[in-house]
Amino acid sequence: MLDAALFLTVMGMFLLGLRRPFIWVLAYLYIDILAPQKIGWTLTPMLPISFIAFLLAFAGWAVADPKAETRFTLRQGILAALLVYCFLSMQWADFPVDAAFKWEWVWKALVFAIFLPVTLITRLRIEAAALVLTLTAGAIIISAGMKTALGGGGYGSLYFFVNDNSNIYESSTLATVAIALIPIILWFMRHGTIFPPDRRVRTFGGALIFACLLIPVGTEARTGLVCIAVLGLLMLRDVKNRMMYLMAAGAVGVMALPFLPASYYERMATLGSVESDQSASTRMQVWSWTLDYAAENPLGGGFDAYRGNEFTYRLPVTREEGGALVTEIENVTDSGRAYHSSFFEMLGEQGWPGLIMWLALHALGLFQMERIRRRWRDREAPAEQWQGPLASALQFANIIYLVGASFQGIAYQPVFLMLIGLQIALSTYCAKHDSARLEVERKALRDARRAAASGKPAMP
Amino acid sequence: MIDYLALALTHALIVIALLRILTRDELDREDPLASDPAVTAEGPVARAKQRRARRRHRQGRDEGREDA
Repeated sequence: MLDAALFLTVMGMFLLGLRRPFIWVLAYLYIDILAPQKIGWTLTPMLPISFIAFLLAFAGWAVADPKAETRFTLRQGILAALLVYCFLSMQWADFPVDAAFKWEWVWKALVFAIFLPVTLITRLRIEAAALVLTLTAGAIIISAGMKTALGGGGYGSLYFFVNDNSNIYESSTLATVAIALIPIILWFMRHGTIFPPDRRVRTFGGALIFACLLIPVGTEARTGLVCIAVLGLLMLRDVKNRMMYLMAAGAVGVMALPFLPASYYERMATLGSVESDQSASTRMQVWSWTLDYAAENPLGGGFDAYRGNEFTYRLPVTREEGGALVTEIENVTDSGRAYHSSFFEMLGEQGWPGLIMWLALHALGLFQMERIRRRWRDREAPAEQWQGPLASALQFANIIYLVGASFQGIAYQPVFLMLIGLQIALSTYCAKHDSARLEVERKALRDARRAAASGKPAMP
Repeated sequence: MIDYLALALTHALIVIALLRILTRDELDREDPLASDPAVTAEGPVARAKQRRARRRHRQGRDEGREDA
């Protein structure tokens, strides 16, 4: 039943695309985020639907879309350079087999991020892409949020539709995605046109935000808590009444405390104690190992270069002996530990060139969104109200991602690359809009001058 | 059960969204200025004025040529 429903949804999208080929782009977003082929068991895994959608999205654009105004931006150039560099670094990879395995999905995510802005040429398309992204991720978030609210959850024990830690079905990644989506959901609650803001939209949006906030609780991902705190601070910039906001946030926080499970407190308490926590101390070790590694291999060691690390350190280990808890300092050896940070993931795998490209990509995004936000802030035309807030929402999502990425290796995470695609699309859209407006004004001025000149002859 | 509910709810919304998008013309083409009511409102008038001015200008030039 579920399998058939998912299969029909995908096939329905493919069919609708025959009338409007842009729907194929949305179909790829949907398939790439939800992975229905992994949820279903017979029908959906039967065809390579992800690959078909990928090809259809390109074909639809090539056949049906106007290409006269297609612009290739600097950030798409950086993504393309990063793609080429990743391919090059694979040639000297320390672990060629693992590197080739990671390359298989990384290239798709990067190519799609370069391609996505080219298709998002109208406001409706930008909105539709953001909506499908939010609702698809929303499916995973709502299910996980409800399970948490009904008493399920726990670190590594909250069950999703797919439980192989792939894509956003990994608890910390899902927590970061959920928090990063909150500003975008808020934007839909004010500026959506597919679902114009009314009471139903606001109710659903509010419930979805609540589910998003529950994800860090349900998954007990510490990164999620840090992301919520950062989002809370960021929102201070845009709220009208800051005092009210601070009081409301404080009240909600205090009211939520009694409902949090005890295991959540225990896990969050380890945020401050790095020494006694293996996950955190491994992190420090991996990071310093990566710095040393990059000093020796400044061009990076290719995908999955972390597999070569090994370190021994002394850690207090507590165990029960004859009814009493005994803590002893023991040597713990770890090997092949993942980077636990996208910054170090880029540095270790793609070296300094890769890290610089990746940082430039995000820094430019933050800068561009800020510029749009400021330029469009004071515009008064009804059609010019949505751009600034969307830039602000995408900027916040990017900051949340960077915070989450500091503690997880999600440098090529497809969902965030899609958000980068949305940023590029918005920036191109605004630039086009501005230049068209400027052109009209200039033309009007020229014509007025010409009319004035023809009205009175220069020489009598 | 919860999984089914979450999937059904979001998929219903996605399908409604796709059907709404399907019927809207501005999905594929959008005049950068048409969406701006402030500009469109004065657009036709301004354009007509421009056209008139241009015609007058051309006429003036042609007359000048005939005189010569």
